[in-house]
Amino acid sequence: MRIELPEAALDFGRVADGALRDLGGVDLARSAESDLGAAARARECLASIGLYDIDPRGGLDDAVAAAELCRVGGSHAVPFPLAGVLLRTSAETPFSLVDARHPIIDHARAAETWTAATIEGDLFDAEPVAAVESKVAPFAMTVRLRPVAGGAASVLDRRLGLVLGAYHLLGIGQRALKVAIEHTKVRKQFGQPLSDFQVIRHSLADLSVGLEGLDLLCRFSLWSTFTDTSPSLVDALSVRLEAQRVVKHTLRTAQQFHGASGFADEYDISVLVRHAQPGLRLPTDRGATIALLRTAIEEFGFAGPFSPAEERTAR
Amino acid sequence: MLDFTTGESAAELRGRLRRMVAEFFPPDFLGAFTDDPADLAMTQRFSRLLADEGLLTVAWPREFGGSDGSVWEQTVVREEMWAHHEPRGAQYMGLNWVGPAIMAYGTAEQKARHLPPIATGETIWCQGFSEPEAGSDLASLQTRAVRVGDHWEITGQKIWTSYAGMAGWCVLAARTGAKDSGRRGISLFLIPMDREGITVRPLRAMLGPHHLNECFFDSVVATDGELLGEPGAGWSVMKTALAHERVGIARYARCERLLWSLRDVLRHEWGELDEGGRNDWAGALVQVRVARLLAYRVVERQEGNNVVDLEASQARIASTACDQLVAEVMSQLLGPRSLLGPAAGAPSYGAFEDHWRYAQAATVASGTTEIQREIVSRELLGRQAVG
Repeated sequence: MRIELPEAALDFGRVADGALRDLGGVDLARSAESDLGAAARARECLASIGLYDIDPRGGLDDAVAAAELCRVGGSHAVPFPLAGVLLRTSAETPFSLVDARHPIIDHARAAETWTAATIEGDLFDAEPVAAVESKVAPFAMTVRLRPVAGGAASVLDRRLGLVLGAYHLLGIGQRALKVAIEHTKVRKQFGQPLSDFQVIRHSLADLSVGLEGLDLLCRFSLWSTFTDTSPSLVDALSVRLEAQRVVKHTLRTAQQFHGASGFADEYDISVLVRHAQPGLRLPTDRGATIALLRTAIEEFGFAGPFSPAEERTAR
Repeated sequence: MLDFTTGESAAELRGRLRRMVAEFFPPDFLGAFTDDPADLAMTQRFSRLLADEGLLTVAWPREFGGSDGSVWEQTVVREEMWAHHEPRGAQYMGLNWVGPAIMAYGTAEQKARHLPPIATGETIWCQGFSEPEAGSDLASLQTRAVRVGDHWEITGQKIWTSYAGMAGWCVLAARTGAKDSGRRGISLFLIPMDREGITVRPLRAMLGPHHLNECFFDSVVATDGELLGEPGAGWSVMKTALAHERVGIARYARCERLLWSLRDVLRHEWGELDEGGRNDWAGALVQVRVARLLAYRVVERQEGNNVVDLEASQARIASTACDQLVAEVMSQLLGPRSLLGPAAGAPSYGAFEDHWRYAQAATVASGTTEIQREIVSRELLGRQAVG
């Protein structure tokens, strides 16, 4: 058993965090809504720390680095399709999971064509069409899908798409908890910091439990991406579901603790809540994810010491 | 690099324990604390069998009667035992924390006196901590130990004391400092339960017999040799003990086993069941895995001798919440059948009904969720402990 991340991956995460912080952190995401150059600066920064040298399909070592980069990128709401570029299918063609009925890709402007796949494995070329013009998805665009004849997305690509997406959400959730803690320590009402109120403290504790659990589930699902030899997506879907559950709740609670200021864009939580929505809802929102997960578990099981498969082998 | 396998020896141990449980217990076994005293007797016999095989104290050092097993083997034992309704009965308290606390803080005489009978499954221990006016606020306990000549005299009342009626020994927390000395004035005593002045009264409870008792201590004599640790050092011993206890019960293990067992029970009607209920069942399996991983992280950190206060509390919050979630999900899927008792033909001999009752107490027993949240938030906010 080895649950802690290797030191090299943690080091890489710290380097990425420093580089993105130097670029402005959440300020870069804020400015990207009106400044098209922000995405290019993000790309340049990420390239300088080795984004394009990572091949997450190559094995667990590279996948862990990719995951750490997605987590750190999420924690700054970096205005760049990190997971998509990490999973690119050619130098200029990022990869994204989509809902084929309502195809939308976040940060779609980053490339002229994308490779898109449904969770079920249908494969498409995707071409950005128009921005969705929404405050909760400032960088998302509708895309036009063209089926790739005879093509199917690999299990590995779909697993990695889901797991790296969960890492991105984990980073956003971790940042949201951090700003919630900072805010409740300094904001005073009734003559005392908000964090002196037990109901606030206990909510923060619960958020940390959710995020710690999600962090571990991310690691498990990333590991199983390379060790589970079945065609099953259960572990990847389960971490997506948990990311949706935990990060939605974390963002909502953190914003609530900010009171009215939580809706003002000068506060990071407002930017985080808005920019997180495409990652939370695309390609499937929670209800669709859990239905897919349940179907997958019914077909493939769900590994654990007391699963039927394990019960058979342990006797 | 990341690796989520527990290793060959742990896997073998798992299989061995499963075979032993399957051979020893009937399929309707639901633990030691039922209305049938034969169940308790069976767990005592099973504990001795485990001891004979070196499996009762698998991770204890050999010098204290253990097998020097890895923490992962110990984890497998915890999982298998809890998943199978704790066939060690009341022994787990001695194994999980009383024994380790005596190893860490006991004198040579105390180790020689108490560890061998725990390792062989002969002694049942109870824990005299909670009082009518000291529950979560344990540091305000008022049972007094007064110095009289060369010994102590202990007077006070304990409550909610599990196994007090059957226990041979008690770890008793009493105040040796001034009335307002808080956590600095508490000492622990290792007291035989048949000592003069101790009265035990059972309390009827939804958990079944033996779980809740009141204990009255009327000028009970204790010697210096029965003090565990220095006088006034009881709080730090209890804190260490309770950190063990927070991951000592692998609640997620029974949850996982029962969720799959429920699927099996309902297999002929599964497709017709409400889709939302089946989705919740899938979501519960995810929560079980999360709770297990949080517990594993504590084990990994303990293996590296790291401080685990924060992580142990996070794991406990998750596993107890998971217990209640799973209980609710299973009730929903069973519908009215969730109310049936074993004699009325309950599915799986009443295992789901039994789990629901136990799960309700999960967020209270051995320290409430609210106290765990205090511990976690204190770490998050960088605060000092209160009191």
